Amino acid sequence: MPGKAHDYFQRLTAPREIEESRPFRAAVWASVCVSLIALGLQEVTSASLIITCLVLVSLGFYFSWRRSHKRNISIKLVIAMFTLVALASFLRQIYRQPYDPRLPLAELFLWVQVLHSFDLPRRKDLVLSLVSSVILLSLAGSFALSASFAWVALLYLAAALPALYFAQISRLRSLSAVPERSRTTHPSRRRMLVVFLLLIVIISAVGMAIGAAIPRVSASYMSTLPFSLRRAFSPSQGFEFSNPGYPDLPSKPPDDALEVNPEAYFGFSPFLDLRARGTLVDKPVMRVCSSEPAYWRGIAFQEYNGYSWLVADEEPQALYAREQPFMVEHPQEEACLWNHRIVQTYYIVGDEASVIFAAQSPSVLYYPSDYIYQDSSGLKSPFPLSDGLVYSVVSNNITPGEEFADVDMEAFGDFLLPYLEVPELPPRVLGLAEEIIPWGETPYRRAEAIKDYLESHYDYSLDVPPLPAGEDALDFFLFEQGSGYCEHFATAYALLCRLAGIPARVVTGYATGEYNPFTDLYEVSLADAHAWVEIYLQGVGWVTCEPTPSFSLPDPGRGSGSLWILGDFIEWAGKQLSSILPSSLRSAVSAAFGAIASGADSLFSSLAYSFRHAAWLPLLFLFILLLFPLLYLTSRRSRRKPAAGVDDGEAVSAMRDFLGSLNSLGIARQPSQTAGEFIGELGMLVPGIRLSSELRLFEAARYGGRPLRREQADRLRAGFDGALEEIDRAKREGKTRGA
Amino acid sequence: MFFSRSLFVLVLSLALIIIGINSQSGWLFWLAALLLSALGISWLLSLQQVRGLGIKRRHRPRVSEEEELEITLEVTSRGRFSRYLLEVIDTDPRDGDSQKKARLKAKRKSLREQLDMVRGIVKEEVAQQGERGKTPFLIPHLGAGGDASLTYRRGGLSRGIYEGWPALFYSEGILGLARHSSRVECSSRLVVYPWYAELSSFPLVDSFLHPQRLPHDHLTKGVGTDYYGVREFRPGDPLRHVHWKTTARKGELVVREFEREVGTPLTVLIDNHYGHLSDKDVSQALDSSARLAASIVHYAFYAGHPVRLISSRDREPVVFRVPTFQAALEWLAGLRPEEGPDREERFRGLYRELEGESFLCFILADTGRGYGGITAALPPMCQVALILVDVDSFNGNGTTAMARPAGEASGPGKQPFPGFHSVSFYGKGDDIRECLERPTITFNGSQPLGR
Repeated sequence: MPGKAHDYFQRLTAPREIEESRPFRAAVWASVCVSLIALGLQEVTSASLIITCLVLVSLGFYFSWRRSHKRNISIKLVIAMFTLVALASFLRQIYRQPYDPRLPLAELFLWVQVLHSFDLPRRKDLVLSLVSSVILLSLAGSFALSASFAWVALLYLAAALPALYFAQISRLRSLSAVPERSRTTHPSRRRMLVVFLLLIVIISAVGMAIGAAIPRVSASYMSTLPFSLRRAFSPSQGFEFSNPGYPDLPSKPPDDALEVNPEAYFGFSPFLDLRARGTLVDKPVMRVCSSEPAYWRGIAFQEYNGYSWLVADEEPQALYAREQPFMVEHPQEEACLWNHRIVQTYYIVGDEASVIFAAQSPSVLYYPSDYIYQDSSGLKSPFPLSDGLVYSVVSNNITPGEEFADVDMEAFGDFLLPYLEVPELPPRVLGLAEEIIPWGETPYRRAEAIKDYLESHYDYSLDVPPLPAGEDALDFFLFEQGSGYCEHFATAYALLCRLAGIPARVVTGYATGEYNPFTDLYEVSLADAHAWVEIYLQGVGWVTCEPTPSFSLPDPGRGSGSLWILGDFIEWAGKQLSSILPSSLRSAVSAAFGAIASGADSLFSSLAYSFRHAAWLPLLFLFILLLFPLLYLTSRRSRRKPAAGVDDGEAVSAMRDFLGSLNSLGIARQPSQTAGEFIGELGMLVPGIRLSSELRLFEAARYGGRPLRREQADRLRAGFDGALEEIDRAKREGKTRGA
Repeated sequence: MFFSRSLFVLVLSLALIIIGINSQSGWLFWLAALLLSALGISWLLSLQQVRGLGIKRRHRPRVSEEEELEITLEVTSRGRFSRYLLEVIDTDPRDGDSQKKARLKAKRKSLREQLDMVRGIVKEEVAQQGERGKTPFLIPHLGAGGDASLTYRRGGLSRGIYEGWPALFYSEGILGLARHSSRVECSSRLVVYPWYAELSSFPLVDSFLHPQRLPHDHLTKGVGTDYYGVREFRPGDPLRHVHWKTTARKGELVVREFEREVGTPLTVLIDNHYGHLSDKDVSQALDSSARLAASIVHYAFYAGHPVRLISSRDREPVVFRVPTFQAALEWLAGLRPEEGPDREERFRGLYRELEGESFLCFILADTGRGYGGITAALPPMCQVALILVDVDSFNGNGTTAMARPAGEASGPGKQPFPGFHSVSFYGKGDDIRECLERPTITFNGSQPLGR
């Protein structure tokens, strides 16, 4: 190698700025390990890979510490080579599975972290490692579906905060001079432990406050939504409905009431048996990430036979998609002005029926299959939904509101006829319908009147007597039972709507579930299984209605649909707190938190409303909020500015100069003498010396705390100078007394 | 307050929020919130660290330029919370009025410097004590209401009277994500005397020495032998001078007084008008003038000549009769540059203070605007030695505007006036001793002595 190039190479590879702090290395190592564990806990990659990475990272940290003072050229070359291999692997995976780049990205970061750990000689390398561990943790966070990730985040904080502290010590030491002598103390380990614990608590608490206040802007979402890896399925002979909770489910309602399995909802089947009685356990079934809360619709039923609802008797059509997504069409539905888009991703937790859940009217579906089925009851999966399945849906949703009250058009069209059909009903049911339906009103008003009647005359209850044989379920609910659960209310509402000339159908699915403000997911449990009604309004389309008392359609402005989740967060915190409190306190705590949450919601809603209608109002509010810190800063700055006057330093300095000059003339002040005494003595020593006004100025500045103005300071100095000249002259002329 | 690390955390948080919005990943919002929280807490911690602190500085009140000054900083905490990783930065006395905020940043090293450090040619260059400029010290822990003290040596001090230069407190908190600094005024007075050379000769003074040239190891010419009279006793008077007869008669101690031998008076006129030049040039050139003056005063004063120092302050001439050499050093330490364009006018004011029979040593700053008018207006003197300080040589690139005669000295015809004794040129880096002992041009009647 030529001399110059060799010299350059030597310089380039020379180890420099080596980090010697072992605690810093250990803390960074711990942070990296926690981030790897976080990734492993989210099951992003296999456990064996994570364990391998943990071992390699630990080895790498030890190795780079041992060899930190060496050039390590061969190691650097090997690292570069393996990094290229990892990059090639990443690109290959992206090419093979372009839908969700997070998994290959996670693996790439994982390997880069492992390789980087073998070359960490300097502080900046370690800091880079710390930063990349934050990125790994964030990647794990993007996969996290439960609030338990909080523990991992806390563990990471516990490792990263000391790392930052040790980095800071190391940096400051390198930048500071070493005093010749010093009397300083070092904090004890116990003290630092307490400080770090306090910091973790404070940072977490403030972080929660900030997280709750960060506006969740709904911006453009990713073009490809997440879904599980594609499963290869060849088209079967046709759709066969399956529900793992009801393995021997007949295609038609049996003669006797269906025996309810408490671990599966009986409504996810080709029929909805209104004779079934029983309660469901509260086990998680899925988590839904949605741009706003909604009901997760499963199956729509068309025909009522007196004791159960049946899906339309039709063969589901297979929908094929070689490339994702599936584009779902609803040819008979007309375009609606009130439609708005809801993007949802479903993370299935338990085994479910072969029903593809989606908010109201799905239009785009990312589903891990080459084909799905579609009929008038909804979308069907070619296989039962199982734990770990992920799919995404973009739906068009219509939120019912008062604006539909003015739509004064009766529904027409052949495709609606099945939804207007009613079987032969007992006369008292027809009489009741005649009584409660306001015939002169618009369809929406008629439906509202029926809903109001049901809500005001019937109670929601899961404890209802069995339906006697031969009885009509609707008649029994309206006139005998007096209370019922969602299927009964939905049946009554749908049939009464049909009697009022409004096309209606009963729908089963899941209610919204509990919103988790940490994961931004709706945690849906089996107990959220629900039945509701869709009515058809001409010019609008199918509109979701909730006739069951104690249930209400989700507010699109709450939960994931709101700009701020502070209210939901407070509500969630209240629920968590009340769950650990004695039962006597629970309701009070829940109510208190609920009130605070409503207050927060109202505040943010008002803000949002004023943004829309009077933009100047929140701006004024913001201005007033900012005004206080601005005023504080301005006042602080003005305090910092030197005053127009001169402080006592000038007076002291003038006096010191005067005394120094006198000293040089042989007139010294005794240490015990005050300024006043000395000047008095000076007046006796040199006749004609008058320094009383200067003395007053000096004493006012020195002891009175009254700073001198510039002209006063000048006058003081001039007075002293004049006195000095006079003393000097007097001394030369020998006119001093006694001196 | 915030700096690159804060900005990085902020950008990372915003990136997480944007990805969170785009991918609907709730945890990304919370992780971003944790990062923002850490940033905010770090901001508050660093703010808390630098508030409610007091500092006292202890050192000798007087020191020479060439000496190292031992400074002890006593830091006291008045807050209710402990402080960690607090940096105390003692500023340079000359930065007293500087309002710059404290910054702690490693000096960027070139690749060559780094390599040299690796090879051990240059030791790791931390802010060593004594280095000119700010000196940072780390206090790892300062308990609530506790105190700490740090002692270090500062060298490279420049002439001047410093009235309480500030100390800075700097903190990046425990986490180092944000920083704050505070400035604390520290009342301490320091007089830095100008450095002076002990001359073995100074031609101007030597030319008017008493024929019985005195050895220079005498501190003063001492008390003469001629009886002058009696006076009252003053503390310090030797008992052997007590006039016992008069004492007995008057009832109080009376001593005999003898005439002092008085040499020829010397006036040192120092030009401190630098109006149009930058602070740095002025400071260094005036320091050199003060050193030249101190060297001359030292020689002349201990040779027994009454010395007067003349300069101007606040546009007025100031005359200082040197009582002791230390007083002269103190006076020179307080010499400050004067502002204003009317330089020649001010010199006329200074000339009025000159006594006709005095010997004059004129230390004149050559600011590149000519000095012919200034020297021409000098009143008639017995002897004048002109020392020209080349101000331009003190500027950044070291260029000089002053044309020094090389080799051959000017002829006798060029002597501006009869009393003009010699001319010396002084520029940055020149040896003061050589400059004063061997003037560049010496007018010796009609025989100028060139260098």
